[in-house]
Amino acid sequence: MIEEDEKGLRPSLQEERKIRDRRLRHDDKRVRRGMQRHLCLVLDFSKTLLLQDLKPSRYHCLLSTCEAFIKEYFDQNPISQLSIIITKNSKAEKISELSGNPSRHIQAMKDSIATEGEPSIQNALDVALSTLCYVPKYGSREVIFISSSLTSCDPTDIQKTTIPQLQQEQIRVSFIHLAAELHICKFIAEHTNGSSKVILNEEHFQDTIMLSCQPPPSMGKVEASLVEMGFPQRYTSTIPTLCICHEKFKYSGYICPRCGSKSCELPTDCQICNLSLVSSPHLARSYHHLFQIPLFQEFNWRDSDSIIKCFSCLLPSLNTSQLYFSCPRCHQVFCLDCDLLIHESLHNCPGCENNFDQSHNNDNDNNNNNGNGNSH
Amino acid sequence: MVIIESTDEEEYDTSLLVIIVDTNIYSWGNRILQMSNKTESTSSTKLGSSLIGFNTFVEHLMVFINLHLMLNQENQIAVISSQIGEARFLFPEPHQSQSTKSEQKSIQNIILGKLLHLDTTIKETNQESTSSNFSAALSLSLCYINRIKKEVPIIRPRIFVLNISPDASSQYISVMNCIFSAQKQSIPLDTCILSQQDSTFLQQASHLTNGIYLKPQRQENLSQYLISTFLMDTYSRKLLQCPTLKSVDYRATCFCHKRIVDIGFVCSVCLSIFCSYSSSCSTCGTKFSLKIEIPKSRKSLSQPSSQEQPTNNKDKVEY
Amino acid sequence: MKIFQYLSSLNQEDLDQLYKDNWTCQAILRSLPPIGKQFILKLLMIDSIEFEQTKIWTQEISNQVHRETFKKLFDLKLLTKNKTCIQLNSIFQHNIKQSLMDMEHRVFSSDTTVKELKAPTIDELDQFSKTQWEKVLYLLSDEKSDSIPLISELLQSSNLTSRDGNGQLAITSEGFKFLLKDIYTQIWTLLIVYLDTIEKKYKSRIELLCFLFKLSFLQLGRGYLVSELTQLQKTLLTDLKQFGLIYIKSNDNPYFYPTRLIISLTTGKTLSLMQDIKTEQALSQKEQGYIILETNYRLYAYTSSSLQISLLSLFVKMLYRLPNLAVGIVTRESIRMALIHGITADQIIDFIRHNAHPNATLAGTPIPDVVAEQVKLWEAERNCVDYSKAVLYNSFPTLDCFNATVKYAKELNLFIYSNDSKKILVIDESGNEPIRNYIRKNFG
Repeated sequence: MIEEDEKGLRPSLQEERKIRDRRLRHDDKRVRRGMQRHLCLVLDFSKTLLLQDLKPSRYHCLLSTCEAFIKEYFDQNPISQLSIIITKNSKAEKISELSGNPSRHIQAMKDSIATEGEPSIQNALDVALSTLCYVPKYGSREVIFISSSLTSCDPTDIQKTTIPQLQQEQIRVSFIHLAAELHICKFIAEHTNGSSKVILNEEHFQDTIMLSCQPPPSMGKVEASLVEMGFPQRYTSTIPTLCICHEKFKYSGYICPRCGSKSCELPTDCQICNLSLVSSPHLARSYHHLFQIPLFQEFNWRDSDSIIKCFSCLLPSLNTSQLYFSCPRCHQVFCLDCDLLIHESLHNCPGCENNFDQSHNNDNDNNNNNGNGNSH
Repeated sequence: MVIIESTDEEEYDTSLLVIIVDTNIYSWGNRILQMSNKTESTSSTKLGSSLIGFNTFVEHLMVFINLHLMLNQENQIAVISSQIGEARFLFPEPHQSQSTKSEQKSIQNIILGKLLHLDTTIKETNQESTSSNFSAALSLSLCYINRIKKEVPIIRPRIFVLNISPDASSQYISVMNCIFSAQKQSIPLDTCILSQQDSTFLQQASHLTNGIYLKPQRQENLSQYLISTFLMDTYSRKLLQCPTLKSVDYRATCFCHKRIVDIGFVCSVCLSIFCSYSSSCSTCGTKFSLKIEIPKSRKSLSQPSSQEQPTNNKDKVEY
Repeated sequence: MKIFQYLSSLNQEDLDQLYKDNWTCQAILRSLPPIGKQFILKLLMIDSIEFEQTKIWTQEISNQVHRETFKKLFDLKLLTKNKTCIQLNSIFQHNIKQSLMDMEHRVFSSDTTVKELKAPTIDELDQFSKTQWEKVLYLLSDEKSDSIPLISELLQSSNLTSRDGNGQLAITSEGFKFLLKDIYTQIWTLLIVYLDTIEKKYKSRIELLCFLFKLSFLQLGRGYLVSELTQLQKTLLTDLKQFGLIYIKSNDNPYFYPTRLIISLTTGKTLSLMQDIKTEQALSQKEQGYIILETNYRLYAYTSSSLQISLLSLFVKMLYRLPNLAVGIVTRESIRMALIHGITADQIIDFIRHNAHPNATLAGTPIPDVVAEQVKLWEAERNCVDYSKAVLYNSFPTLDCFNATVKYAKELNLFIYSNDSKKILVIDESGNEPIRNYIRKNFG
């Protein structure tokens, strides 16, 4: 369907549709997801990183994309943990331990500068194995391997030794290839329920890795359990006391409810009694993964003569090149910008909120009256 | 057309103020009862001597709105009312009849007219609830702000909530989603509490978005509080002192008894919080395994660069 | 801001009379810096407060901001100090409170039930004010034109142009500096001189100021009835038309229309005034900068206005002129010509920065550091040689004589230069006699 707007130009509706579809690609099925994620990010620091097919160089592109990924990952999954492993010179080394502190990871990544030699896929996966096997079973165990080289220098046969171990520990390995896809990587991904992707350009790289911020559906029989967590209160005093994370004197901090020691920031694990310490907003950040809004469908407003307005921002439909979408549950109409905002950032449909008694009763299981509000 | 974005460092105060007015008729009706009780009883509570009714409140609010529009020629405003069951735009008008050119009312007159003639009919489906639909109002305001920021990139938005109803715990998830979205876009959320209890939702919201939280002690002087505190634009907030909360209670309440917990049990599937151990989760229905694993002792923090094979022994103790 | 400078220079009586007008108070409140506004708001509802207590309003790191803002408010006589307490000017306070009650905000009635058939559109108003102001600026650069006698007079009395020996009008160095400033500073400069002439004629400078402030509250694109104005205001209308601030079709037309210039006048930057989206886009295209300056000293100006090109030719050597582009090169000669005329390097740099093309601003620096440094160096070149009349002494008989004379010259502050090996002493011309007498006395 070709249309022209007032200036006689053919509007790029197709372009806009493609961009929107690319950004909102996600499945909204109600599946069980591993909320507490433990992710090992493996970076290939071989000499192929110095190639300049990605601007300004693969190394810079990798660093900036990973930094953005780490921030977004902790933003979307605040109670999860991350560890970074780099592989070069046929060896693999863990540069940051499994923890929930994004700045520490980013700093460790920036501190490791040298790129040389060849990567070793098996060694990297072994290090990841040794890190993840101690993680409790109710959390998801994942590895994301960003490989840029076309070779690997391994001590033994991956297929015979490493892959069975990965399967036994239920670790999901996904690959993102900066160069070309390797058969062995695809093999590993298939056998561990992961994915193998090749990037096209810098933007595609960022989009692909950001898709991993959403918790993946859990595979197989996952043992659910009740995890004991502490909700500490912030304590400020005029006399400084010692904190256990930095061993420095600080005026304020969070007191662990079980052992009474002071930590500086949340979320963390109390270093004395090993209790997970979180605050309720951290848990609340992950709720939107559980209650996802359905994708909106395009609404053909040009048939009717009247001007329609977006429900949430009152944008009138003056230009024929504007796209409007409607929510399948509440049937309200939204403009393109609101659609993107709702699905990417807000995770609330204003139309459904307006009829919230109805929709919440029908669609959200029993979470109606179980919010963390104050009981009056 | 080239759009030049502004940074927060530049000195100007063009702002978009979105006001969410709580027009819950039960809460305001209760207020009338409280005020008439006060005249009868001799002992009054701290706040009981200075409560105001809806019409007085509207007068104070209009003075505030007038001053906001006076401060800068480019200041913009939007007013959303959060009522029982739904939230509506009061200004800009969602269904604008073609105004005759000769009778162009000023913005203040339009808002005043809408506030005094609110459509307070409640939909049939919402007859049983008594709480304001705050999450819908917040969602609408965030979408509107997103639109105006695209049209006028240099404008600095903020949200101002005037609340009188208690928190609705069923809206917790939606409200938290809105708060995180506002936090990401650096939109401060200011709150003025007119009820006698504090509102945890709004305390958390103002704290997370670096907004102002205030509960005026003498409500008959409401306009003075509003003018001296809530008209602070985003640039001035960095240089001036604003009333903030010393500490906000971020502890969770358990789903079963609604008690505040210090240590709770969290279901790993649906993240619902319980105060005591049970065999299955009441929200998602998953049964919990009774196997208790003793985790291995912590290895030393720095792992050597490895060619080692991981060991696979774990101790499992079955009960 | 120019307007604050002018207002601070008025005396208490004039300011009190000024603050009696409702609209003036609102206009002044609106044009204060953001922190200033917040301080006024805090003082609005109270009678007086200890000055010490106001220190807690600002955070500790911004004490300087606190001092500067209060100084400004005191200068404008908005605050009065009574021993240790300060309070808001009571007339100002009263007027602001009054206007808070007013929900209508109608300055003049704009009853357009009588449909004005050919009301000018917003674009036409913008075009009118632009061409009118360009005419004013042409008066400065082009001596022959004498199109607006009123403006010519103002320019002369403000020393921007002067009559040279042949009776011809020529631009002065002040005039050059004036040309490079932004439009609102230019308008205010001329308005201030105009206010003085009005004061001499009608003794009602304050009334004119109030009228100007009132006009800034009108809506762009709407016509207002002339019949509602006072006699004085009506006579002022035609003068304001010459500035390009107001548009009125003919002297007896019942409606007058404000232009964007007068509405934006109090804030000092062009407002977008969201009347509707189309005009906003048009505005952003017109008012954007047009200069791109490269590191190889070439300058590209995306404009077709001959005024802007002639402004640039003051300090740039123009090479080519195309329908929408003018190309020039910044050379030592062109900058020196500008410097000789009295323009400073800072003014040139500010002018380029102010009018830089938005693409250049986005990409990085609107003016490359190399070029800015070089312009400053060329300016410094003109200051590297300092002349003063002096006398040279050489052939001293003995070393002692030489050293003693140098010491004596330094005591008398006449010393300029000495060379020990060649025994040369240079002193200021006025010290010739005393030094001579000293040598004769002590050394024969």
